[in-house]
Amino acid sequence: MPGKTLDFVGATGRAALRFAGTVGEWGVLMQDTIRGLRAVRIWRHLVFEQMMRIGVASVPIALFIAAFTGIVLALQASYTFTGAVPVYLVGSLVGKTMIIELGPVLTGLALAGRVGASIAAELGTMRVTEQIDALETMAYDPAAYLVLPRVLAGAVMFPAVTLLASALGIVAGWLTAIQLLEMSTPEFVRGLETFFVPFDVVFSVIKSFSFGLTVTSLGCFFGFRTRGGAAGVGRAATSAVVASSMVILVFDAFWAAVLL
Amino acid sequence: MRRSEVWVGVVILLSVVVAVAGSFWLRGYRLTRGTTTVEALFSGVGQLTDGASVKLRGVTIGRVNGIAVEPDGTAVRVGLAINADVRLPADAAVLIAPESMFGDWGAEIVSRSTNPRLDFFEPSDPAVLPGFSIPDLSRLTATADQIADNLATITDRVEIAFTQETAENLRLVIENVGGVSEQLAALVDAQIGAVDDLVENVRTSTSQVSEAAALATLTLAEVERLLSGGVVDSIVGDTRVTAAEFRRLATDLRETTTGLSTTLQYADSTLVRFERIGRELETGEGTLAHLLADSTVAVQTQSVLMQLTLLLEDFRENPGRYVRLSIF
Amino acid sequence: MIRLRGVHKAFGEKVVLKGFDLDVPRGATVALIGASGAGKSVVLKHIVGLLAADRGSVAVDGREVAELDQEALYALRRRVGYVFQFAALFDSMTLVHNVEMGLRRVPGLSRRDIRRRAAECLELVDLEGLGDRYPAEISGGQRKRAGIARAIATRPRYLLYDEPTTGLDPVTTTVIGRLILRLREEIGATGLVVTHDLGTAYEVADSMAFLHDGRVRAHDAPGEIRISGDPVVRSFIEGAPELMETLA
Repeated sequence: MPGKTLDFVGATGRAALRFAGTVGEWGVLMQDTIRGLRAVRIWRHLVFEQMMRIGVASVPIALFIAAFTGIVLALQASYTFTGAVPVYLVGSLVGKTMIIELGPVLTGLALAGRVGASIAAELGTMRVTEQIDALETMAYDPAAYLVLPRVLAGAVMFPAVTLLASALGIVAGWLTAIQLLEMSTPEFVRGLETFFVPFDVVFSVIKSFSFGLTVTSLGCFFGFRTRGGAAGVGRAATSAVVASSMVILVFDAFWAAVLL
Repeated sequence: MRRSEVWVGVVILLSVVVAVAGSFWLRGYRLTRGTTTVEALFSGVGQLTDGASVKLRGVTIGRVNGIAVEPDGTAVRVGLAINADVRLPADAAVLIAPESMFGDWGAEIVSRSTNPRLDFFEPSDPAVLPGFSIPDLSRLTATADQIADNLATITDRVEIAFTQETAENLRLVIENVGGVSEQLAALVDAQIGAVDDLVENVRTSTSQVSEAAALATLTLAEVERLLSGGVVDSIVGDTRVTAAEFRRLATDLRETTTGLSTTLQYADSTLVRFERIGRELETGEGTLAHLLADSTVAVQTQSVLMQLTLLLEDFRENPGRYVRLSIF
Repeated sequence: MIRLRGVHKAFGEKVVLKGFDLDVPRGATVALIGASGAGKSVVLKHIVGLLAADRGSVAVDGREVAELDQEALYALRRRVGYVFQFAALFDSMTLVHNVEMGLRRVPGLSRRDIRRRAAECLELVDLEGLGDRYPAEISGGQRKRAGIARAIATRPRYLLYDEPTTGLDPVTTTVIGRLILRLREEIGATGLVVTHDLGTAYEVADSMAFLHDGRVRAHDAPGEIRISGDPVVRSFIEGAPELMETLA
């Protein structure tokens, strides 16, 4: 019995150490990336391409998700608000929720799947086919050449995509409200206005900015530490998506606690 | 490469435009399509805001669009943007009143002839509709105690004119109106805070109160109906007829039953008191007479009771909503 | 001059190098032969600082690789051309861009110089005209040659070949072998060729080092290795595992 307890304690300790080690490795990569900022000549030309791939190419999926979220929010809000709660609150709920919560988080999660997985798979493939080693032998800093453009692009494009998604979500909610819920446009707009404060937009930007850093840096991190061929690439992509999704939700709670 | 730069620029600029312009748009929006605007004048508009609904016979037909105090400061001009294809009553007037417990007010277009006793603001321009703002809940609850007192006196007097059950229910309603109105006043003061206690109290007495309130509403509606018939005399007449019939009944009872002296005494005293009420009504004395003569008290009472009924129904259905309304 | 002394390297439990010594003199071409998985590529990665030795010394031109700061390490890497086993071409770029990558990191080269040199390098490996293809669009042998073109673009003093002929047909193998010889003449680079393909080793190397059990078991001229009496070396050269078994 004591032996088994010790085993359990030991396993817990080992898992914790491994986790701490992973976080530490991530920290080292981020440190290298920040140091890579100095090598402007290396990454300057790559940022736009990554913005295109991470941001622009993600707009359709983000908008798709946001549109349906807006529709569902409007329908469910009107279902929830019965009796004495005025119907214009549907507008408030759709607007507020899209801007400060669902816009950033759903976009973040969707892009964690799309962008995080693709970065991890791409860099993972480069790792197992020695392309990253090749970069190094050609005197390129992989952190500056591969990680930095992606992280910068994510930090800039996530907020942009999120703002567009939130806006479309609200529009979808509004169309739903006037088409299916027998609400009027002024009613909906009145609800939007009632609880809207400009800080919501700032909050959304801060959140999605952190999500962008999270998804891209974790994608790069898991891509970089890929081992073991095609299966390893698959594992890296999975780990990147799972880890970024979790960190996004943790950040979500963190920002809500710190900023609201 | 150049193409991608353009696309990136488009997405970033678009998002900034959406974020900035969206906020402004929220403030500037007005309904413009397929509507016509009518105006009404009020002596005051309570908590009516732009965008509040405008109803006709309970159906939303438009929005409040523009609230401004008249230059001379004696009235408030309210614009009502309503569907162009809705025909208003010839003697249209506008009532504004609370729509729900959340302080959101709505406007209702009514026919003036059906509300003869309301003190509409009279505009000099015939194109502008007369308006009346029904006292809001806080003011109603402030007078609820007084109304309750009046009701107590009334029921004391008419106790026997109604069935025993009616009297019992009225008494209940009065007790509860007294209690609830105090708490309602607190509710209105504190808006949402400390509602929990109220919810607890109300939940226990909810079913009784709402039944009683409904009954009282009916009763008062009857009073209202009588009043709108405008024949206080007929009440008095009816009372006399009833008294005569009671007397005949008493005679019948006396003939057919012996040993029911208690019943007879009861009937006798009823008749005595009923006849006194009739006399008081004729001479315009007594609280009931005051009540019947002062229609606004009756309207207000009815309005309070309706509000209470609505509130209590909602409390009963969704108590959680009143404990803490926090959506986010 | 590349000098490795007493290099130890382990990956977790797995010990790969245990006291590895090797000298690659200036101008020479050394073939490092040995069984698959013996750690030949690991040796190459130590030389360019992709891996750090657990113990021992790795020095290039008299300077300890592990002690170089980042700038000096980059300077070293520009002097070393590395031909990867599977070419490791950047698949998002055309061949020309692959070759230009290294050149862009050389200070003082104009854009025109870069383009001209890249074209030269592709010509040197007989890939002229394929510069606009992507790695996925060319054959394995062409990829190998593109990898070599990329490695020689910066005119390195040293060329490290990691299995340059693995997975190629005999004709292409010979082509690559001749290319290595020709490059040696044209750019005069010191070479270290890691291979388990003896034919290529005999053809291109001045000397051959045999890696076995984490150490250099034998290091001699190709002719000497060919007639070595060491049963381990013989076993490898003749492809006869039973010789190893008698040893065990």
